[in-house]
Amino acid sequence: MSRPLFALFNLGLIVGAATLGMRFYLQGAPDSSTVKGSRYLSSRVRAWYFTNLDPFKTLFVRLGVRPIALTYAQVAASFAVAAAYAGGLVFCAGWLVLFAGTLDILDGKVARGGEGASVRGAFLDSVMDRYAEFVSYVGLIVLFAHGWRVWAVLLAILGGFMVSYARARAEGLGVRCEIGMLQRPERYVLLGFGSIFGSISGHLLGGDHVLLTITIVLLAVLANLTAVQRIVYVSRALAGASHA
Amino acid sequence: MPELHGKGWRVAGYFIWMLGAGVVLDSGALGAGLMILTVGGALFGHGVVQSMRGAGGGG
Repeated sequence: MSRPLFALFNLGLIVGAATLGMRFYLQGAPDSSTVKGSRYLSSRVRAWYFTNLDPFKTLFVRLGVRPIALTYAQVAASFAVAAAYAGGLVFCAGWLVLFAGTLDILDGKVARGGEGASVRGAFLDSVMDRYAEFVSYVGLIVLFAHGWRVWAVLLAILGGFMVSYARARAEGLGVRCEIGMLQRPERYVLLGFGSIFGSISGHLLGGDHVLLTITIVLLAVLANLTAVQRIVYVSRALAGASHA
Repeated sequence: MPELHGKGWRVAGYFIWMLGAGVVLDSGALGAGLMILTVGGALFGHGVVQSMRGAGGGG
């Protein structure tokens, strides 16, 4: 059932929150000097988002919540993402994607703010991230099971895994590799907002998940391009190393 | 949970509201969606009240 007025109302709430965030951003706060940014998600945008998470970090640290518990919660949230996509709840799925991404940020912040980050925690976090990403996409496979779009989802999965694998393999060979246009935070943001605005546009303009389809195709193309960027970058770095 | 300040409650309320909105928009479960919307709205309102009392947490 189409609910254009309610969709428009919630679009207003999202735009309103974004406007308030932008005002805060333009005022120059918060301090982003210690936050690492990227081409598409600048350090100031990330710093602004992190300030919204500070109350939760403080709460989790005081309650003694272990970072690994938040990592497992991220995997659980990804199952919720998959269930939402599979059930056609695309708007909810988009917010749950952003929630899962937020838990991924929070586990690291809690680790640094509490008992301290551990190598074991960092390893488990990386491994669980792969499971979480795959599980989220399973819901999209169910949603788009019949038709060409399932192939776009599979390509997006491949791209996401290759981006991470290229970095892990490079770092195993002693090359730092944090380059690329579509790293994990960017993938969360693109899929999350693509789903949210895709659902709203469906209620306002109709169509069969048009905006979500465009998002998936973008993810499939850009994630694989990012993987190729990394392969070329590491290949050049290792070629230089072998001649040294 | 004083650590959450006004901002934490507002962020949690906003997120829960949006989940409820998603249930209303994309499913036929209007009752469940309205219930989630109410919880989200109440938490957001609580956060606004906390902020007005000077426990905003900034931003």
